[in-house]
Amino acid sequence: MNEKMKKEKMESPLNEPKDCRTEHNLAETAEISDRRIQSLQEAWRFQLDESKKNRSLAVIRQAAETKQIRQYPSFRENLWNQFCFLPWKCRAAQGGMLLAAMLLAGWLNSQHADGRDSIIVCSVFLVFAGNICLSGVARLFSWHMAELEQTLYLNLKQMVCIRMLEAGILDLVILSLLAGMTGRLNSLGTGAYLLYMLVPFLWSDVLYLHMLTAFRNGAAGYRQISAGILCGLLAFFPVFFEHAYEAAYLPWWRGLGLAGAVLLAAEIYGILGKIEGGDSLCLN
Amino acid sequence: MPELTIDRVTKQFKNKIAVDTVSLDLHNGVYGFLGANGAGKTTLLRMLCGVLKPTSGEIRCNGTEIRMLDGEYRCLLGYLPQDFGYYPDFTAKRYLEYLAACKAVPQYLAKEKVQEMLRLVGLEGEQKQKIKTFSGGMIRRLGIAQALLNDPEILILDEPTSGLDPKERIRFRNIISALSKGKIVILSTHIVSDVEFIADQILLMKQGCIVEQGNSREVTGSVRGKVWEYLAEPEEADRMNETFAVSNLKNEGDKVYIRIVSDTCPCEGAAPAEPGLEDVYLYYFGN
Amino acid sequence: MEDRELIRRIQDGQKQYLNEIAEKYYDNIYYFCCYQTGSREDAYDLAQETFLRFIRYVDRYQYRNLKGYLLTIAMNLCRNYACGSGKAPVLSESFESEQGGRGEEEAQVSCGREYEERENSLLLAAALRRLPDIQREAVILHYFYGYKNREISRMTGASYSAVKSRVRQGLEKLQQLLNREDFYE
Repeated sequence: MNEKMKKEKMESPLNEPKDCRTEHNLAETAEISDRRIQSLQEAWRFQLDESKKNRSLAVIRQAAETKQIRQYPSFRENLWNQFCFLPWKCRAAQGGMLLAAMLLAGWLNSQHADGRDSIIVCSVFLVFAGNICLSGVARLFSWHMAELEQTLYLNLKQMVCIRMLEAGILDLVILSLLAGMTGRLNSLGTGAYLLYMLVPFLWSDVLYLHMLTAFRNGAAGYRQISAGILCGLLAFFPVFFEHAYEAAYLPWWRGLGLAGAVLLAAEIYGILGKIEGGDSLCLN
Repeated sequence: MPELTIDRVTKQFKNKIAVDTVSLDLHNGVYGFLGANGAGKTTLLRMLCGVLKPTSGEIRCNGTEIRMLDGEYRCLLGYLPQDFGYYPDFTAKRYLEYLAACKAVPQYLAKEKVQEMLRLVGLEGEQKQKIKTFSGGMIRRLGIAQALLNDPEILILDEPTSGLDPKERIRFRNIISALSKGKIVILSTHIVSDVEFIADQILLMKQGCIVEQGNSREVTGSVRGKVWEYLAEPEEADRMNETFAVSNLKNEGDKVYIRIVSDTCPCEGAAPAEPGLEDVYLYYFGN
Repeated sequence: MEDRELIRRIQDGQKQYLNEIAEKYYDNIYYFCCYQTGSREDAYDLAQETFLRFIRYVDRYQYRNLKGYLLTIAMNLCRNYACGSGKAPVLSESFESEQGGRGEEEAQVSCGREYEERENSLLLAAALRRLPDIQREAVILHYFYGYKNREISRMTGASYSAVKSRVRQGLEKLQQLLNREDFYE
């Protein structure tokens, strides 16, 4: 029985349905229909009308000639391009910052500075670093370039995202550098230390981005400098508040940190939304 | 060959309607938008570029909405805005290379393309200079060069010849004419001679609507019988200048040649004249 | 040249290879359109349109299975064709009108084998027309082009089990039709 079924399976060009009853029925008429279907299988490719085919191919050839092949660069290439075209001043500033971070950490270590002081210094430094990185993003909006940039393949929204990503990466590097090298100067755990650094950083970013979009028509230079100074002052406030770094106030720091993160996300979302809307990009 | 369909597009800013239910079908050729300031030309062009979102209506390219096409549509686009921005400390060459990278021009082609464009607009010699040292005309030419970098099939130029002297304007016209085969070129301007010679279709825009459309002959034909020539005495001429829309006033000897655009004959002795595009402009946009 | 290599070259800017693809796969696409819609005449236009669409979107195409991709385009075009033209043309009419037009030449030129081929294809097409559209799609893809059920499911967008049952039911019905003696009159 098995062999018979196998034989029929090999002869019939059709797939055998699994149902036994149907299989049985088919097996009876299989031989006759097999031959018919086999001849049909060879014959379904009939001769085409060559003139019509050639006409079609000519139309296709025409379309191929007029077609302009466009290549779309990958995300990685976009990232690299944006990085390449940052003006040398910006890149020097960023490189200098990195260097300064290392020097600062080294100096603090050598000074065996008080835990509290080192935290303040580091957080202020991080704030300034963040601002300098974000200035790369601000540049996109300056000099009336925004409108044109929105119409490029890599439109403004994507450029902003890429620049923010680059800024974020750089800030993260600096943060880990500082944390790694000076962390052991104080008695707090790494978690608390990171929190103390991040909170002023987040809030200063929020402030900076807000000022970016709020005062559109002001002189770009003043805006950035004033934003920077304000943020620096923000980071200094623990100096005036004696017990800021004590464990009791940790929940406050946590709360501020969360609020800062949420606001930052909201600001970024707001900026991207404004770009989409387009109205504010144009100077009527 | 691209096809743009503007389908009942409206744009409203707070309390002002900038573009009012405009519907157009654009195919190959040069389209010239003529209109006064604030007529809505720039707004319409910005919507075509995807910078502004229409309040209602759709813009479709080859049947698909441009918002859906996203990056692919922008690849086909070349735009020169009215307020053309640039990074002042970039050199012309670097600026074009930067834009070429952002426009997805393939790496191996980019350098050649940049040189080709610089040659086309005559800035080859100044390519290593910083843009902040350029004159107004040179900046405009740079803008035209960047718009053409990615071989766009849809070219949108907003007041492209503002600030150019006649020689540069003619050069620009010739460039556009030579390139317009198989493309859609959309020009917006209030310089009549720009469109007179190269536009296949002229569209007159007033307060957000298209009031007249057609090729040069049709549009000037629409004001046939409404343009008059007259030789007047000086005082008469002054009076007429205040009452009617005057498209030309010239002293000839002791009389004044005056050209008036008016529905009815302005005075006895005025002869009907062959209308020109400036007369059309005055007819629609004069008071 | 391999399909993958052809696509790579085309996307690199060498457009002339588009013609090679057209020449390579035109026949296959034509047969699909022909049997799916039942009209030999329109199948030329549909095959042409398939390649025009392919050219239009070739920039973004990611190579996987070129023949399958082309067949998917053809399949969608045939679906729209059926919806657009209202009733599909009655098969015997469209085939016969072609035959009638060439009747005289035929008598002189065609040899027995060609005639038999034409007869057979007519029969097959007629049988296929009796199937519901989506069954016919699945049967043609499986039977003529040898695609597995999983691949057909991906191309048509239907679930694997749906495709499996369509193919099975379609083949059963096809066999029943071809076995009926009166079908051949």
